[in-house]
Amino acid sequence: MADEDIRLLESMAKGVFKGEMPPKLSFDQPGRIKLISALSKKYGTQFRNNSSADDLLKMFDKQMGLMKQIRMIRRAGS
Amino acid sequence: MPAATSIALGVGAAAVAGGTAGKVVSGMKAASAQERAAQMQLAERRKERELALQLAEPTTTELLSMDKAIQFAEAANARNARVLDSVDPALIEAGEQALELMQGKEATVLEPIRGERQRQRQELRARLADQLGPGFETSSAGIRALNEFDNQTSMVLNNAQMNMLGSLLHTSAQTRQVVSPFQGASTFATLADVAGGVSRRRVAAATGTPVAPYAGGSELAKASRYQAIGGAFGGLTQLGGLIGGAAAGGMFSGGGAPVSNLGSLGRTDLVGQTGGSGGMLA
Repeated sequence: MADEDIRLLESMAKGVFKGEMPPKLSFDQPGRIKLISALSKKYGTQFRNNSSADDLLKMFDKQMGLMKQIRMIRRAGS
Repeated sequence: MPAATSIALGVGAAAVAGGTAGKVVSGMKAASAQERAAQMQLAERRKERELALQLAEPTTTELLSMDKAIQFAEAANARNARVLDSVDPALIEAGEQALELMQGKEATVLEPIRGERQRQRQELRARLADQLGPGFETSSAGIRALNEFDNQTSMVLNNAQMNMLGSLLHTSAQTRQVVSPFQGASTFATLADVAGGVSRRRVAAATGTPVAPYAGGSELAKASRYQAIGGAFGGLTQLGGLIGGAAAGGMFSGGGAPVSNLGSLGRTDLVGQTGGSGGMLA
């Protein structure tokens, strides 16, 4: 696994669990694809069998869902 | 007093004295022999215990087994330490976040959502300004739209904070699964089993070879010596009685005394007589 991928995964984990998302990453589909790619490189294609990797993705999805909810509320208001 | 009686009394006194001396000597010899026997038995018992304790010592196989178990336990501890060091900081962070939530604080995990809420609110304000003009904040439509946004997003955040606690606790629990304190349990069980077996053997060796019953051997010999000395005093008393009786009978003063020993000396004629007076010793 390349150093870049490791850094990406670490920053993702930090962003997801600590709320410190790096500027170039966000809780959206492009961010999700990057995360899945990094997890696959580290744990293999069956990364969901790894509870740590699975939790990270679940937490990312939860954050992404919350973002969507807030955007939807804003759209409804305007 | 006839000369024959005096001779008989002298012989009797000599016999009593000799018998007493013999009793003392033989008593002392018996006591010494008893002491030596007790000491030999004690020494023999000590040897037996020493041998039993030597046999109870852990065997080479047991020592190797214990050594291996200790090495394995140390390796397990080192492995746990490495795992703890390598645990993703995010997992530890998750635990800390969960603790903050339980303490009623706002979880930093929701910071991106709060940031997004602020961004969306600004966007809403911009849209309302476009739609309603510069006084949108005082218009009923503008007030209602902003209030609804605030209320609804506030509910989302509150629910998220509540749900996040479960997720964070679940994630942090993995750290405990990875670093299990019971990894070396079987190793410690082996170690305890072997060490316990050795201890049990040592105890059995010590209790199976009692030394205490022989420890008082010298004291028993001392008691026998005192008994022999006591016998000597008894003999001397008897001798004194004999001499006193003889004196009472006139050997020294012409008087007579009731001395039972006289009967044993063949002087039945003197038994029962009262002592005379005016004797040399009177």
